[in-house]
Amino acid sequence: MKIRIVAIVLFLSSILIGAKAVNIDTCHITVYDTIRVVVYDTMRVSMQSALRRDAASIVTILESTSADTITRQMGHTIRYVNWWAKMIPRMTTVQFAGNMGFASLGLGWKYGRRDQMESSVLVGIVPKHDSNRAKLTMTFKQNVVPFHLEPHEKVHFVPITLGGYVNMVFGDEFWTNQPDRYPSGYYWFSTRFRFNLCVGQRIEFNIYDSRIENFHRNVGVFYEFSINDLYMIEAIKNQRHLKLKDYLTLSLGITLQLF
Amino acid sequence: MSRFLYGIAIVLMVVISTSCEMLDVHPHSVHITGARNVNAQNIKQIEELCASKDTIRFVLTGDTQSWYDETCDMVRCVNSLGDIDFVVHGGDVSDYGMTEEFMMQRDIFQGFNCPFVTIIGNHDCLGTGEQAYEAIFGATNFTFKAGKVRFICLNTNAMDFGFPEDVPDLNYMQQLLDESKSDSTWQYTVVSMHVQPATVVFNNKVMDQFEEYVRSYPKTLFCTAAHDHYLSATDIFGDGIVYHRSTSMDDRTITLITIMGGTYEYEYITF
Repeated sequence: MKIRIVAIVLFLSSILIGAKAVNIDTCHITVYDTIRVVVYDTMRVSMQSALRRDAASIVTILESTSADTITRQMGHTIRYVNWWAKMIPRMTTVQFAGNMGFASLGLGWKYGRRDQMESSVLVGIVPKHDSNRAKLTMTFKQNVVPFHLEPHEKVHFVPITLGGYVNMVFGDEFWTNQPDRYPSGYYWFSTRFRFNLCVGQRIEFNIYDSRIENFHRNVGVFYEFSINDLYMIEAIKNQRHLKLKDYLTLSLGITLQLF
Repeated sequence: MSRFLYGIAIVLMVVISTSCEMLDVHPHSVHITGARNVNAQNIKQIEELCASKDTIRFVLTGDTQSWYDETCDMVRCVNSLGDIDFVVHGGDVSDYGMTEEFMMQRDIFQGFNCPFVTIIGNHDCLGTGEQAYEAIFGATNFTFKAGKVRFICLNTNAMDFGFPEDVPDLNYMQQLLDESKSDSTWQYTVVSMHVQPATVVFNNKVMDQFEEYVRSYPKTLFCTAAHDHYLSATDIFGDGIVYHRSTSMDDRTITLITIMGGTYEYEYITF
């Protein structure tokens, strides 16, 4: 435990030394435009807290270190932080219905050349209704945003989002593979995992206001129609009786984008 | 401004999600809308309609699982026969135990011109299926009387529960046997189930005890089952009690059984 604390302190102070010695805004930190904010904030926060803790000794270190060394440390630190910064979730999603729970809350990542790929992990809750208890579900979702329109500088409209998600539900009554008590191949499907395809639309508003310095840059509202593997089989088998509303599922949601 | 937007969005979500039927929460949500306790309501009708009848005509069907189109045709066929007292669904309403399946099938069955009862099948026990079955149809073991004939409907899907002691529920069978001794209007018996004895899903350890009870009820005429997706009439134990199996909806065939006093006839009707 003590070693970990020492390591953290060392890491923070290495950031601090670099940040203090070089003017951040003029450094090559701006290469990664989207993660700039995070790197800057990480440094600023750690610098401030460290300064408060032990201002005198840090000033001593700074004075006794040559400019060359600091720049090398700085470069290393920036690369290190940048690498990890790519892993930081940039979106928060709240989704209602969609065969993944009444409400699901998740984190999401955006990547790709034009941020056209979105992956998210959501945790949802299925209320008790007439069953024995409420259930938790987990969803792994992948979306593709092929293009978007900008009717206004503060408004992004995504005419189509395509995607798919896998939902798993927790509970003893569900299984991934059929339990041993069944003869092999008795039930071919899993009751725990459902595989869904979805298509939808989204509108995003840039809500950042420098006067109030709010946390989020973007808020988006979306809806999605989805179908799962079993409903799809039923829809194909019963083209006379089943209507779109029987096998398609609607979901509504909000996305909040940090940066 | 942003707070205002957040607020509007959340209010909209809540309003829409409580009003729109396409917002499915989960396939296994057991979120039941529409009729509940359907078996009890239908049993009440059967007992009233058949109270003074000596001849009972009923349709035996089952395994409607994800054959909605064929099930609709079956309902039309039964309605066209006319003069049917009730329908016995031998189980497997759903294919995957999903709540929506139960409700869609229930809505189709409500198109019958006559009352119907539904027995639980092995596919109805998947996931939260049993809970959905109980909410929509009622208890998994039940009994009703059509004139002088007592129908006993039992959950025999032992494999899906891991072969517990209470599937089939021999205590329930004993309780009914005790009742039969004091009930003079109970003259004949029909035992209905989804899975018949000597099949892989049945708890065959209690097979002989089960048959002992079946034999000891007042003049058991026959038994009905479903599950195997083909028609058959087999005397499994060689004791004169025939197990009539109904077939699945893709075979487009139902069994029409007529009970007259202590005898019965059956025929297969294709639709």
